Amino acid sequence: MNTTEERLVDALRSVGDTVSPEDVPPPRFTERRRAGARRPVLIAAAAAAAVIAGGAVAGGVLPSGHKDRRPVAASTGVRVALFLCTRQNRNDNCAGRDVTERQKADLNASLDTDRRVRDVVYVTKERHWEQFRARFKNTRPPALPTTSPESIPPMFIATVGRADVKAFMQFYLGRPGVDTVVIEGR
Amino acid sequence: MLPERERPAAPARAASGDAADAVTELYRGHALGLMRLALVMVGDRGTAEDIVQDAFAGLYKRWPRLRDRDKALTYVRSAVMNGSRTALRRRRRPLRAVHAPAVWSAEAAAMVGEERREVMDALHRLPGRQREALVLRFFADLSVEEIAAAMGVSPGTVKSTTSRALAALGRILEGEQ
Repeated sequence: MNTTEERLVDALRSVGDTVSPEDVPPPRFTERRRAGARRPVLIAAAAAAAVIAGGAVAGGVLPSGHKDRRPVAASTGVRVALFLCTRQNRNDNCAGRDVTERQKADLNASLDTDRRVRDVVYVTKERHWEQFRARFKNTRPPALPTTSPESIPPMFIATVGRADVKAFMQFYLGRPGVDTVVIEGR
Repeated sequence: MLPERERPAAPARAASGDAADAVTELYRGHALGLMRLALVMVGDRGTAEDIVQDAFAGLYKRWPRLRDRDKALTYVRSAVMNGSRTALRRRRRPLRAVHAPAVWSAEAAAMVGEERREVMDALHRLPGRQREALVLRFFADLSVEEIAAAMGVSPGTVKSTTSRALAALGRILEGEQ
């Protein structure tokens, strides 16, 4: 049996060796830092957050199957967005698959019966993409280099009492079909 | 943190060229090793790449004011550790960025193998400072003094932290067998 030190050295080297010299990009330090200069994988979530931060979801289009959803504009409380999985997400909860209709229906039912939720609206992927484009219509590449309709998630926006926000977020973070949960405007 | 002082003003273009050449040279020699270091700390290559780029950007910005340029590598290594710490802290908050799974995660286990994945999982269950000490000692192969400089602690703290971390790692691994 190898010692702890030997096992650790072996594991660290194996992980480190997954980066080869060809993987090292050219240096970027002489470039002026600008929004969107980072790797594109972060763009979708950041862009989506920017859209809801701008209040663009009020009055969002409601898909079939979620017809009981009302616009959230008149509500008070904290607005929390549940970003649903897209195949672009590679976190453990999404594993590169789009949220399924069954998962959306389960979330819809759960939000319906959740006593912490004062109001909720569902925003389709397509609607979210339209909002995103409208919000960033004056932003040219490379500031948003790889954003595409596929990378924009559908989402639920729930209005929750301030005292319930933390418990609400913890409850829905990690649920099947949920990529992440964010507070609007943060 | 390296000591700094104001240097005499030099022609802007010459100073800029000097910094670019020097930092580019350092980047060519050490970016690979630092990307690997960041990778074992944070788990995904994209974040590791960003951390290293930011570290060199910070060095480039400070270059004209660095008193001891022989310690530039120490500075940038310390910046990589700080950046890794920040990235891990941000992930614990409910969250705004999407991260790829760690290279030792279940999804990517084939890359490193099951036993190594167990070791990496155990390593990432340790407190942050213990994990850093082990990575700098057993991956970066640094001396106690170099680890102390990278972590911003005393050599004595490095020794005691490393010792406790190794013992804790052994206990975790034994418990999993």
